[in-house]
Amino acid sequence: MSDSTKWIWSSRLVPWLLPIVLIAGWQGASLAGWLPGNVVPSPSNRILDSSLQMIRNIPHLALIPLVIRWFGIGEQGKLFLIILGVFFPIYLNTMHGVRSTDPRLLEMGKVYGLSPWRLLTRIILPGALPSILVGLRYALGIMWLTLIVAETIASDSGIGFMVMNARDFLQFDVVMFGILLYALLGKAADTATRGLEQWLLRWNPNYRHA
Amino acid sequence: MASTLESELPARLNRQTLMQTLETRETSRPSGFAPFLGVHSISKRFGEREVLHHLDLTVQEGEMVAIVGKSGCGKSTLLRLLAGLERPTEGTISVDCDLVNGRNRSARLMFQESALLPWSTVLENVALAAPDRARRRESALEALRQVGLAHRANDWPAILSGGQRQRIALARALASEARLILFDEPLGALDALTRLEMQNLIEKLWQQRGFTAILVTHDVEEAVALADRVLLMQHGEFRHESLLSLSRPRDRAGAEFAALKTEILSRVLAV
Repeated sequence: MSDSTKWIWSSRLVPWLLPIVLIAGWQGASLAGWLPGNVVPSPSNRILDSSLQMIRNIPHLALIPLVIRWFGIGEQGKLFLIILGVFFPIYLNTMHGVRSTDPRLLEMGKVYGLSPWRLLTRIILPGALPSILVGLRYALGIMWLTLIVAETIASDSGIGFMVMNARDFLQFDVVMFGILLYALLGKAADTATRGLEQWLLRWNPNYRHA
Repeated sequence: MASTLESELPARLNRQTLMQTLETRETSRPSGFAPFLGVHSISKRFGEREVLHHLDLTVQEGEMVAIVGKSGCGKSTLLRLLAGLERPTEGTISVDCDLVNGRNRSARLMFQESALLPWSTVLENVALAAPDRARRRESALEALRQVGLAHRANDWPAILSGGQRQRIALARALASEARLILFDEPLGALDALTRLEMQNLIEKLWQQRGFTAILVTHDVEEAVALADRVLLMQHGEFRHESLLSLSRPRDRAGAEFAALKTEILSRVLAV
């Protein structure tokens, strides 16, 4: 394990994010028919789902004061906010993709006796991939937004910090430069996901000449 | 066509040797008469509605049975039960005297739409369920060759025609070494010419590979052209059974063929 991964695991991020990821993963698995939904009795399942939907509807930037209190000023707080912000668009779109898997293909997989693992990797995930990629593109936008807001408020480094500093000293050329940087970075991220999309969805005639 | 003439001779020989091995196996078995597929008094109800009503059916290995009937008579439901996609409300299904519980491992279902994975190439689709992991590619290519589409192995299914897609679905069933192929109106969505081609292909492959086939169709001519036995289904029951002893390949213009077709068609339309 490298130093950076060790740092993430030992950090205070894990206890906060793990439950959310677990609940969402559970939902995805039971939707895909991968995990039987009835392992957990349905009332508690509903409680899990409700809490997840409640967390989802909190504007994550509203947590900034708390994040400063929990993590202090630095990288961890930013990471926490960004993970929280990008998680739900990807989660929702993945759910949608899994739910809209062609039932005839699933049935075919059953007739041919595919194992649950192969059912997931050969039918469910590729079928959900277009939706997952939509979620990814949307999440990238949120990622920049969150990073910049977090940097302006709860940070001592980064572009956002630089811009805020420049504002205080009335250096508008630096402010303009920061904004330009955001635009370029956003465009670069979008181009990268588009390339990913065209490569991963090359089987689909709709994406071939996008 | 010269190629079909060439392939018929070994095909018949294969079928003959198959029948001989079947006979020897039959006699060596102490129980004597043992059908490949047995359906014992199955019923299927969806809520109040009874779709199948105490059906019995036995099919010998290597036989081609056609089931004809109007739409909504329960043909497709029967196939889904045979494939193990659904369970009968009453009764049992057995393969080689073993009760089928859950999925029917020896059966493959071919649907009206080909159900190919659009994100996998033709070859990957065919190789999907080949039993021998190490030889997946080879057995898939072999099956593709048999349906005459080996040159499309690396194409995406999206660019193929409907007939080609059905041929690939058939190759997929062959590559998975199915002993029983259930055809659920597989040619229903094809044009007349492609349908004729597919019928010849199915007959040829059936003779070569010796699988058992159950063909559900609403096309009486297709049933008479392909099957050893035609069952007429009405309101969830078999009402009539015709054994066809016409020689293969069947002469669709012959008087005998026409008479059989007319007889079965009039029975289908009678009720």
